[in-house]
Amino acid sequence: MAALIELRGLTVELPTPSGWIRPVDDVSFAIETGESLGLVGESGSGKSMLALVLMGLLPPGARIHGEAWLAGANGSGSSRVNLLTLPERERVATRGRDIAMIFQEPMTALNPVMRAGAQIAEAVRAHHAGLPREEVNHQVLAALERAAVPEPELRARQYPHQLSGGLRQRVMIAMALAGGAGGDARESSRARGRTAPLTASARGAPRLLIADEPTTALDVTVQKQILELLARLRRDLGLTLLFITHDLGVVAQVADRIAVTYAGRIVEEGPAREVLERPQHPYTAGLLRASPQLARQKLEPIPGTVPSLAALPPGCAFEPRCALRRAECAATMPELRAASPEHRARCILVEEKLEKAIR
Amino acid sequence: MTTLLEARELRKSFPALARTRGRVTAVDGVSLDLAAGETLAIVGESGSGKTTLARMLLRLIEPDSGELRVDGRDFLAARGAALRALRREMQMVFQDPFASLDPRMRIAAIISEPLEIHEPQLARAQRRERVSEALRAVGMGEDALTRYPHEFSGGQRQRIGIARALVLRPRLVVADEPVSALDVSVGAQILELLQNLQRDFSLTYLLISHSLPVVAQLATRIAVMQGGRIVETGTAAQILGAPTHPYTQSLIAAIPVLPIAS
Repeated sequence: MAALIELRGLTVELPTPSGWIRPVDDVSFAIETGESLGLVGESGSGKSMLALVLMGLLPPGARIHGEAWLAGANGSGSSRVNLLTLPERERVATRGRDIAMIFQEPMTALNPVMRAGAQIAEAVRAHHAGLPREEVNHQVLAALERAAVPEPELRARQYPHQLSGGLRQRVMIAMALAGGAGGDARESSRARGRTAPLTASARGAPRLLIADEPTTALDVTVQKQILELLARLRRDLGLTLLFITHDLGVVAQVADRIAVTYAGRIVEEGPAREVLERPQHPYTAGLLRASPQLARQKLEPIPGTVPSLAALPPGCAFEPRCALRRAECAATMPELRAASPEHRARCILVEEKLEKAIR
Repeated sequence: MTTLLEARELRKSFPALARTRGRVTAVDGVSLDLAAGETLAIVGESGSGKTTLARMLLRLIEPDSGELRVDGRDFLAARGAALRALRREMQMVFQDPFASLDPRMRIAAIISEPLEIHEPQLARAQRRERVSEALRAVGMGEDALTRYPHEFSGGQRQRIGIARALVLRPRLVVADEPVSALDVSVGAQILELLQNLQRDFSLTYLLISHSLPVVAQLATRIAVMQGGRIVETGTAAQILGAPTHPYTQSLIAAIPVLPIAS
């Protein structure tokens, strides 16, 4: 299957009082249609900035290099477009229709003085201009139903503060789904009779859903429900998912593949189970050992803190915190090296069987 | 083991939404004993009443009814100097290391403020020594003293908050979600620090958390709260290994599990 989205050497530079920093530094990866990629990293690793590049929502003054290819609507590679060179009008059209995003804190992402239904209707109208009000309302309720919101008519009339955290996140998901038009859904929605029931194939949905820490602000039982909802939407709508999180337990539930970021760069990438069970980068291995589990364990924190992007060490960014560092690590940043055909890590120890070195 | 803190049938309700006459009962008849040297964790989801309970135990908010004893003395009846004397035994570490430090105070002033209130007789040199001692205990150097909170990372700020709690040499530390605002790798550092401080200073901990995996690292006993009540309490091994209440079971079932690294 072809890649839905492919990044090549993507770099974002931002001006700060202490000079230009690179929150995203030479990032390349591809997400296949229908796949779920988990982007893992701690604060300051650049993972949210990457999402904003794809959405075209970078802060003013940002410099971008590299390529970000989105496959054509028919799924072929030939008609794909580079999001970074797309004229602004076409770029705006992709937002919500092809790529939609849900955020960590639904309370701040939602407008507090607008009813939930009206906010979803905005997303519908943005991509289906001129749709009669009745049809807009129909699509709002359909979106809420797809997000498994109980009593959708009631919830559509309520304001965000009247909804629980879990319901707010479902409204965000409904909004993300409402603006979308996966495949040829736009045509079919127009051709469809107004009262005809939606079939799964005709349901519009964005092709790529970016979820930035969507469950971090939620209770663990609610988190479980939202993760189950996302899994069902992937299955039913064929959504492709870019799931951004700092939580390795959560990423283990949702991701087919994992990319671990540190100080703006991908330091490890591979199939989810392989990365979690046989981490090849000392940072990934350290994160796993520092993550509290249900059993009491010997906690092994990673010493030190994430380096400031304005003062990165000259060599490997993780070198100052790494228990396995060698002299050469301080000199140059290693390239991503293959540990297996699909599993790569940015560490000179990859070829020396890092697993043995850790033990 | 001696009982440090005893709570009986604590209740607290707040007025509900404006224009309604109802009240929301945040804590609904909670009783618990805290033995010296143990770590009791209060676990619950948002709205379960765990933070209200913790604040009542420190009398940061007054309960509507119930009894509260510290070392067998009636804490609720204490006033003036007696109240201050009990309070210096009980200090708090807050969730948000960004909001809980005054951005306009230098670190030395932040950590010495409790001393100025509770031990005003200390000479300046003695006070400075106590502040340095607290900073060293949390693994920070004296170069921090003249700096401001914004110059530190989240993990370092949480260490400063812990130093402020320790400077009075309390017996009880109440930690309300001490690592939930921190990155995983830094949160593990703070959990390890709390373990070491308990050993070195014979501290008693009351840990408030929504996260059973975090609680599992520190707690000797766990009380699970739901809807203002404690629904299950037991040793950490009992609660985590063989929970009996359906709510505790659902909390444990919802935790995302990592595959075991080989």
